[in-house]
This record gives sequence, C-alpha cells and structure tokens, in this order.
Amino acid sequence: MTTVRPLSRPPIREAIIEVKSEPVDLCRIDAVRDRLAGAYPVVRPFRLASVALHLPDERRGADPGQQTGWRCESADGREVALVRTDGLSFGRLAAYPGWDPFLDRFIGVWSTYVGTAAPLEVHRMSVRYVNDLRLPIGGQFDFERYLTSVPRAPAGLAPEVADFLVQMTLPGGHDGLRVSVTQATDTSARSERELPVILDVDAGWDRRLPVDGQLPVRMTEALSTMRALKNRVFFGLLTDELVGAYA
Amino acid sequence: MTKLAAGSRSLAPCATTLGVGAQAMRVSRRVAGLRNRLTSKALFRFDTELTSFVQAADPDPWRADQPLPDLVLKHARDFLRVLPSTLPEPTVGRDDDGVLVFEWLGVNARQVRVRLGVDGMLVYTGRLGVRRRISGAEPLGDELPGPIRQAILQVTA
Repeated sequence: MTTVRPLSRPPIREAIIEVKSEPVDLCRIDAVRDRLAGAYPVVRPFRLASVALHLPDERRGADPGQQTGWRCESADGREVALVRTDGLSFGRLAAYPGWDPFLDRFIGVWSTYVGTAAPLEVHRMSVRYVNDLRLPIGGQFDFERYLTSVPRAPAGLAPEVADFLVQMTLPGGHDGLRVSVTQATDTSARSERELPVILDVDAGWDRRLPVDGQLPVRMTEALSTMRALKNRVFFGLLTDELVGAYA
Repeated sequence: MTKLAAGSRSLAPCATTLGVGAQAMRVSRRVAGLRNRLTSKALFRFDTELTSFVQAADPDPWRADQPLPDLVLKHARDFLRVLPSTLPEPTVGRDDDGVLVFEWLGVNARQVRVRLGVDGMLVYTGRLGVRRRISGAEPLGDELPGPIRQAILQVTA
C-alpha cells in the first residue's frame, strides 16, 4: 500500500500545469503577455518545440520558425508561463511552494488567459513533475533499495546496470486519463557519493470542457485528481528508505 | 505479473506536457534522442537503398535516370518511419516519372503498391483478391493511413 505524505525537502525541479485549448489568434496572445507583464516581466518569443529540442530538419513541421506564443518569466526566474495560441503552460522551477499556492498562482494566470484570449473549449489538462532523485552510493549499492521499479539485467549476466532509461504509460482510472512515467539515470552527473536519477511523472487527461462558468470548479477537480495520481506514482516508485531522505 | 492495458496503442513519443525549464528539456531530449536513434538504426537498410536513387544509376548519359529530388527521399524516409514494425518490409523501386514505389507482394498475384512523389501524397493501388481491387490517395502524415495498412495486412496475411 502506497503511503502519500508531505515532504519537507521535495526533490522537485519542475512542476508544470498545462491546459490545451482551441487555437486562438496570436494577437490575442500578445494581449495576454501584456496583461501578465507586471508579474512576468521577462518575455521571449516562444516557437515550436521542435526547434528548442534541436530536432533534425526532417522531423520538424513545415514552418519550424513560426512563433506560437510567448515565454513570460517572473523577475526571479522561478515561475514561467508559456502563453501559446493553443493553451497555457505554467511552471515552477525552484523552491516549490506546495500544491495549494502553486495551484492558486496557476488559476490566476489562467484567469488572465481566459479573460483575454477567450478560447471556446479546453480539450486537455495535465500535471507534470520532474524530480531529481539522488541515490546514495555505498559499498553495497542496489537499485531496489531505493526504487521499486527498475529494469533488471538479463538472466545469465551479472546483475549490474550501467545506465537506464525507462518510459511507461499507465491508465489513470478514468476515461482519457493516463500517466506517463520516465525514469532515467544521469550517469554524467554521478559522483563518488551519489547517482542522480530523473523521475518524470506526467499525468494528462484528454477531456473536452467548454469555457463557461463551471470550468474553474471542473478544472480544479480534474487537476486535483491528476495531482493525486501523480503522488501515487511518485510514492509508489520510491522505497520508504528513499522517501525518508526527503521527509 | 504485468498486464497490458486495454486499448493501448503506443507510447507517447516524449512527455506530452511542455516543460518550462532545463530539467524537463533534458528528459524530453533524451527520450526523443533515444527513439530517434532506434528508428534510424531500423531504417539503415532503407537508407542504403534510398541513397542509390540519389545518383543516376546508369553511367550512359543517354540511358541515365534523373536523380530523384531530395524532397522525394525525405518523404520516403518519413513514410518508412510511420510503417508499423509489425508489417512486412516493402521492396523499394522507382518509376520512370520520378516517383518512388513501395511494393508488398502476396500469394496469387496479390499486391499493394504505394507511389510517393514530391507532393507527399501516398497514391496506392492494390489487388487484394480475384475480384477485389482498391485505389486511392492519402496525404503522408504521422500515421500510416488505415486503408493502406489494411491492404498490406490482407495481401501479406
């Protein structure tokens, strides 16, 4: 049985809430940027992700340089709002304040987005947390001591894994709700004392909702459900010993 | 015991929620890069075949084929990427009018042919049985169009 409990030092490096909606004109997104300028004064154009990911040309779309929105950062760089023609991503990069303050900040930015861009319908919501776990390396290091789900070496080989990257997609218990889980060792940052492991939990819900007076309540309920799913995945993947290191 | 979830189709190509910082970008790049490398390895044989179409095949200038436009080769790679790994591999050839042809052959002269030119349209014809033929055109996209997939399955079953 997975026990979800608050952590005093959560290993969260990025927390993101994203809402995808029906596309709107870029000029409306320009207006959203202007209305957010007080809290998010550092502004840069946002272009297609394929450019940011440096994907080869053959993997890009027809117009890879097309601007689709704005990246708006707070002055301290801790909060980022990607306001795009097809929705909003709101992220916290450092000093995660906890779910309730984070959700409140998102709701504030979303209200500005809806009030200005005026999308007609929401069709996807997601909650993504990128965690930076540090596994202590001792004399008898064993992945199973810290993680409950790690790949195993084939039978007949020494039970050692030099590096791994695992991604799995799991049903979330509701129609259209799924969670994508990525676990990867980061051997490039390994030290004599610890091995970094990235744990990326991305819960997404394909669900069409009209933008009306009931949307804030429905959205808050959906985001809370996804957050609970994310927590079950996180605490289900860590052993009690590793959870204790962040408690 | 690990069970397969009902209705599962494929893994997301990478995390579907856009990251806003360096950590999420690293995860997405690593997953995307790994998948890209795996796909490239799988396509190595086709890359070798397609390369032969870049240059004129015949040294006799009166008989030489014109090199295929780069755009056709790009479309061809994209098409090969969307072929499900569970389908048999096609033979690749070229027509006189500068398009690539992908062909699947079955028993009793059953066959499916997909022609691909610079416009990126998948123009297909198939002989699925004694009295059954199909033809049509679908744009090249992120997935293999259903009629072509069904035809290949029927011909190669």
